[in-house]
Amino acid sequence: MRQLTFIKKGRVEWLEVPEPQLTDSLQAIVRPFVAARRDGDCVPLFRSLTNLMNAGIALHVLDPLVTDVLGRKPFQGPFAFGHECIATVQAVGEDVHRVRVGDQVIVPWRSHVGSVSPAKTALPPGVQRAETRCSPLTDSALQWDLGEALLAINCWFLLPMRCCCRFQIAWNLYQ
Amino acid sequence: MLLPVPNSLEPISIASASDNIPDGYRTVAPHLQRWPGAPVLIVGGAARSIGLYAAGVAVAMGSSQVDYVDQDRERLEISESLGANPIQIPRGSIWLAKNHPAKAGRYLISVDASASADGVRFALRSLAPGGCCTGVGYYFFKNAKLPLAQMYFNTTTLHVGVSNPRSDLPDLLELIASRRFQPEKVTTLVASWEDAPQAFLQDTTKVVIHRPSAKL
Repeated sequence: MRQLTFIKKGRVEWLEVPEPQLTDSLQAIVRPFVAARRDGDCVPLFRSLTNLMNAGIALHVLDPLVTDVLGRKPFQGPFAFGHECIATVQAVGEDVHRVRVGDQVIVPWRSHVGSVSPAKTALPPGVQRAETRCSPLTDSALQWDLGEALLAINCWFLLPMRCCCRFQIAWNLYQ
Repeated sequence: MLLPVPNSLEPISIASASDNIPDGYRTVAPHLQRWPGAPVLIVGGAARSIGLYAAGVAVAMGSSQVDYVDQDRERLEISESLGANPIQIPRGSIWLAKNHPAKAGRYLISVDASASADGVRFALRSLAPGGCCTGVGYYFFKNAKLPLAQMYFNTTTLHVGVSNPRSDLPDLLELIASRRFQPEKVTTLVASWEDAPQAFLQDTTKVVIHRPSAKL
């Protein structure tokens, strides 16, 4: 399939990438058919910020937490470009019951349920929802694929999978 | 968690429902539910569409006064089409730093969509006592200054953080379905899917791309 990819300031391209696969029973694969440029997308599109931001961090003008969210080289391409979409569900895992194949769905950029797999991982005592745990600081990747079909998207936790995995690891360590 | 699109809504009209529309909604809706009719100030800027969505929601929810401050003519015109009162300011943030109220403003609700410290300070200083300000931008600067004395004496609340769309979407979609709030007015360019690489590079408020939905 094709993936809309940010290359550098002023350059976005369609690139070929492997087809997504379901790897968990709580995942779904969706095919976006309406997508929007969110406001934050404009930041790297119209300015070369990587070196400027690193300089700002070195000079203590910018908060070093920026690199926890955006990586050591903020906005350095290439990366999958896209954040907002309406999509058609193409496949669902066996434990997904709220949406069915063929449904048209909104794909929120993040979940309001913080568990990757609530059935398998109990919330810590006193934690009803894990919004604070869904902080962008848990991973640098907040973009997902806007190609022919989306990467496998977890129905419970809509950040990209490597973020989910990292979150799951952190959760297990917490327990 | 995925959310089915209601049959009553055109998908293209809610293209930004994943983030920016609910991001605007959450800055004003909870406060207007608590304070019906409360006046709202929005400082527009880098968060191009979010401030406009906030303005549209505030008007739809019955705010008595929605003032939208920005330096961009396109966004000011959109704010007017949404029913807000556009206030044009000069380019650069100096105006925001020099024109804030000295003691208290007249808004119970303010929003910084400029993603600048000057914008946050202006939005904070424009609040009436007991007011609440929400900042939606990327705030990357270390040690940004806040008017803490004014905030203290006016019992001001500042909320800064990322949006949580899934929990707001049901109420928001209901508001859009009522047609009192029309988010499509914020969209300034609709392009075909194939043209995404060119369309997304247009320096305009909101770009939407689309293609036929899948036949399954």
